[in-house]
Amino acid sequence: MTGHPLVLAIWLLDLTAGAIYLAAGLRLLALLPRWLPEQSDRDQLVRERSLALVIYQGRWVLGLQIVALAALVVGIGNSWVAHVPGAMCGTGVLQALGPAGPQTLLLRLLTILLLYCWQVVAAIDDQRPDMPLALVHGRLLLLAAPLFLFATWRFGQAMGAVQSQGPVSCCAVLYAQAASPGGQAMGAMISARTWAALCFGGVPPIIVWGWFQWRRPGRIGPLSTGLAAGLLLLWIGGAVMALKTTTAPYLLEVLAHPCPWCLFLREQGRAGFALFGLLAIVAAEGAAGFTSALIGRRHPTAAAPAVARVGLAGRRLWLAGLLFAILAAAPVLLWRLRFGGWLR
Amino acid sequence: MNAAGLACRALTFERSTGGRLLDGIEAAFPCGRACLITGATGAGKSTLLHLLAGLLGPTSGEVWADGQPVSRWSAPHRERWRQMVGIVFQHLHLLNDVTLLENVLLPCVPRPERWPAVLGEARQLLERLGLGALEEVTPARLSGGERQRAALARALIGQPRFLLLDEPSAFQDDGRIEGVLGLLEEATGQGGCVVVCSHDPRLAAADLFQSRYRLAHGRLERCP
Ligand SMILES: Nc1ncnc2c1ncn2[C@@H]1O[C@H](COP(=O)(O)OP(=O)(O)O)[C@@H](O)[C@H]1O
Ligand SMILES: [Mg+2]
Repeated sequence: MTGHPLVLAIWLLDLTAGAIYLAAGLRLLALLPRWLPEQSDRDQLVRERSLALVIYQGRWVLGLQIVALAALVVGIGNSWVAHVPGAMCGTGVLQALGPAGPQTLLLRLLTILLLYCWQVVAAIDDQRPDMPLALVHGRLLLLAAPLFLFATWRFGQAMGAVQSQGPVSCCAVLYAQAASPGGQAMGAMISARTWAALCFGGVPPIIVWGWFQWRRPGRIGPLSTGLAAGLLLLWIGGAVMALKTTTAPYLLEVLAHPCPWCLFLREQGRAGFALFGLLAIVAAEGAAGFTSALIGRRHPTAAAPAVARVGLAGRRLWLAGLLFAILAAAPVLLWRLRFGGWLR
Repeated sequence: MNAAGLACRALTFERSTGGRLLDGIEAAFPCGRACLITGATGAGKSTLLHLLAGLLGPTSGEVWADGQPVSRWSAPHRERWRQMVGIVFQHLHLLNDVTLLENVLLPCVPRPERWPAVLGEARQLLERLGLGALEEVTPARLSGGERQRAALARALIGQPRFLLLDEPSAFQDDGRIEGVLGLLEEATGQGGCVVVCSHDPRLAAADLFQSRYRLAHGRLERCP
């Protein structure tokens, strides 16, 4: 499997992104300590051109990282399933990848989220001719570098683990987990119904909040957007649980099968890509709204474009929330229409 | 520095091939005035004009426009600002594959909303410059003087706030120069900022220019 084209593609994407990131990082380290916007000597002009190049490079790193993550999810959810003995979906592939597998996934998500926030600040800065936020986004770009390195390193570890791996038991582990004392206690405490209520009950507030943030971005500060971002993260956790316990049975047409990766299979129309993709957008725009509101408050010179970005995040939030609710409820409602009853 | 018009602040430019072509130039080219810059060939007049137009970046120092340090702006903002600049290049840079009229309309391509008005303006400019009958001809088939007047029409279309002209009379005979000067006078009358680089003595003698500079050894000296 380590020679699979998708694995090689991810290596290539990571190495390319790494090389670009290294070049951008070295430039930043050279220019940030000596950044003097009030001067117009030769060195400062060179630094300004250098920073323009860094922003360009950073956008490439972000783009390449998104493509690499998409490739990794396609690999785990679809392409590598046939290459792992015993695997039937991404859960089996992740078992074969060992602990480094979920870690590289999570670290990549965090890297992209941080780089996305960087891109939001850089784009706000772009709206002003005099780059008032140069120091802010310059530092933010450097901040994501360790995460990036760690994610790539864990990817290498995961690829090393898969070679020595015997057959896996795939989704069966989920049933073992559910039957364990901890799993039973969890199931008794929070039922599928509760997760569904949390997930779908959370959508109207998200739409209302997103709409408000879209129409009245100037009246929202970093505190409320920060709080909203935190609540959105919690909601995403609940939404994932609802996908596993409520949507999945209807999509898979079984009584219960709490496996998220089965949703990525071709038999399920690869619905997982859309569902989890929309959740990723919610997380990203929640963070973007918070970042822009914070910038708008801290840097009055960039307040106007920052407020505009808060509004844009609001619009994307309610759109993504609505779309997610429709997609996640569709299998349930279609079932009800077809058979006139619920699964349980 | 907050005055309307163009200004150079400690403007220095070095070619990558070495040598300091412009050395700490301080100058103001206010709106509603025409300024003439003379100097020997190779003194750096064209380079200075390109710096003023935002086509080149300074090695150090700044170019200010209407109280804003435009040369320090990030590229997209500078590009947008440049829509207020009309320029006649020394080597004209007309497109040989399209007609004269289309050449004149080129600067208006990003602003298609006023198309009929712009088309009328282009025809009028060509007419005034004695090119009315040639609007469907490609520049390659024209004389040097005709091509240069076409380039002037292209610089004037849309009445840009800043007009930069590099040797605009080089290919013109005496009769035509009057017409060209008349157009520049109209531009300054409407509050435009006109900067002309030339070593043509006929321009040096014109009354149009309220301030005159001489560029030599990288320095811009004001002439009495
Ligand atoms: N693209 C270029 N690369 C290198 N040197 C150039 C370039 N353009 C002009 N030069 C040099 O810069 C000097 C000034 O050129 P220029 O500004 O065109 O002078 P002027 O317009 O006063 O005749 C000249 O010595 C010329 O050789
Ligand atoms: Mg010249």
